[in-house]
Amino acid sequence: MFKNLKISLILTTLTIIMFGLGYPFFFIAAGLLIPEKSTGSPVYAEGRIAGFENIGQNFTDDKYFNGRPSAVNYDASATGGSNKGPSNPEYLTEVQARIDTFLIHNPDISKSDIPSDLITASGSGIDPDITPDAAYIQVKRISKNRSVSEEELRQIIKKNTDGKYLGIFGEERINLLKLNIELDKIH
Amino acid sequence: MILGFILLALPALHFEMQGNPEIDKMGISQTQGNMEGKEIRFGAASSAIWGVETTCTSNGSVNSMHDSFMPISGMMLMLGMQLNAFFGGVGVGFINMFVFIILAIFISGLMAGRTPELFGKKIEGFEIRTALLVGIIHPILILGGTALAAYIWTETPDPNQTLKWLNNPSYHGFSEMFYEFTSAAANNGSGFEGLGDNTSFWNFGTGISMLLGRFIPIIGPIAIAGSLAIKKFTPESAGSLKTDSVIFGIVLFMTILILGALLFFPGLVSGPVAEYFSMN
Repeated sequence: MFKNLKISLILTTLTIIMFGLGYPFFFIAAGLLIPEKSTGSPVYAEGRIAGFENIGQNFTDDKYFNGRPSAVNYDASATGGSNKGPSNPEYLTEVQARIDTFLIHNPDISKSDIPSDLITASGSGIDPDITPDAAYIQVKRISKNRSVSEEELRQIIKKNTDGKYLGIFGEERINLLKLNIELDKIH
Repeated sequence: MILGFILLALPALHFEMQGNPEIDKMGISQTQGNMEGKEIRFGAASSAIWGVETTCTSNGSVNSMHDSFMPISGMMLMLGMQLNAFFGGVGVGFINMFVFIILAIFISGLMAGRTPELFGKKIEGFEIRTALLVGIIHPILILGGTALAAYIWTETPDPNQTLKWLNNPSYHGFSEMFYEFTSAAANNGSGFEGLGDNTSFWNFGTGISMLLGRFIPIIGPIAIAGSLAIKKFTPESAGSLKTDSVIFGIVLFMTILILGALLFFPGLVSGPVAEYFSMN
């Protein structure tokens, strides 16, 4: 009995030291070796931090590529999805409203061309990416608002498209923040 | 186990990639699949696969919002946790398979008229009773808990104002409650997170089913193993049942389907299946 207690006490203390102190300090040390990655992959523009690679920001201006809708308004301290079920009438009205808004801002496109990622909210609410389809469909509007040729816009979209992870997992995507920074550089 | 996993993953994949027919009706192409609650870098297909993986293995981490999954794929996630024997996770995964193996041995022993044996040890009354208890506690916790929650919800006047649990109406709301108790009893941790579950009812209710759902399936099989260990080894004879044959594999799979899944079908029918048919 006493022996058992002693063994379990020693084991508890050892694991607290190993995993309570050793493990976090190991990762702090590892983080110091690769500062770019451990500070959240900041993205720089015009010499200052414009944002972070993996935290989406809300672009609603017609001059920029717009991102996906967000259930939490791109609040990175309160991430989450809408959690609305696919048959929820309230949710379907919301989607319809998003479609209508998008058509008002982009009058030149037809409804069936809208990619579904632009009218559905992401799970985290801060999805940093959009699909290539979602970017190409906004080309006309941006070219009008900025007097940049459509060809030029298509080129920077193509340049910023990232492939699937390891070639098979996930989808092709574009980091919205990087794309918009690139867009500002054209002028 | 792999067969069961694939059977769960394929429908989930199919329905997530097909997208939401209600949005399709609005004239939006659904080639990307159902993107609500999903990140672009994962996409619909990978999210569906991970959803099935995380629920089959009592892992519980999510990369997309399960609440916004299509009804049938949501059902596959629930089935993964309700069977809790395809892979399973730390602690209870293989144990549940072990329980099903003992039950399958007993059933096929009865059917073929052989002595039920596992690794040369006779399976007798005590083992069967314990295995059945373990097999039955999981559905009792899930179905009982969900029934209680649904009862409270329907008995409360104006529940949307007073209880405010449900984020979605009708069938999907029932699925939310069903999923929550399933996830608790299977020690999974994921959820249909639209459910406002930080109330004393949900915290206590799911807490109790977590405790029972975790420890009874551990204590039971340990008791079986202990009782098998002290039994004398009986050498294999013409009358003993072979447990390494294809036939036994089929019997085992059917046992899991019949004992494990059929118990949950009434619940699944009134949640996801009803929602599926209401959408088409």
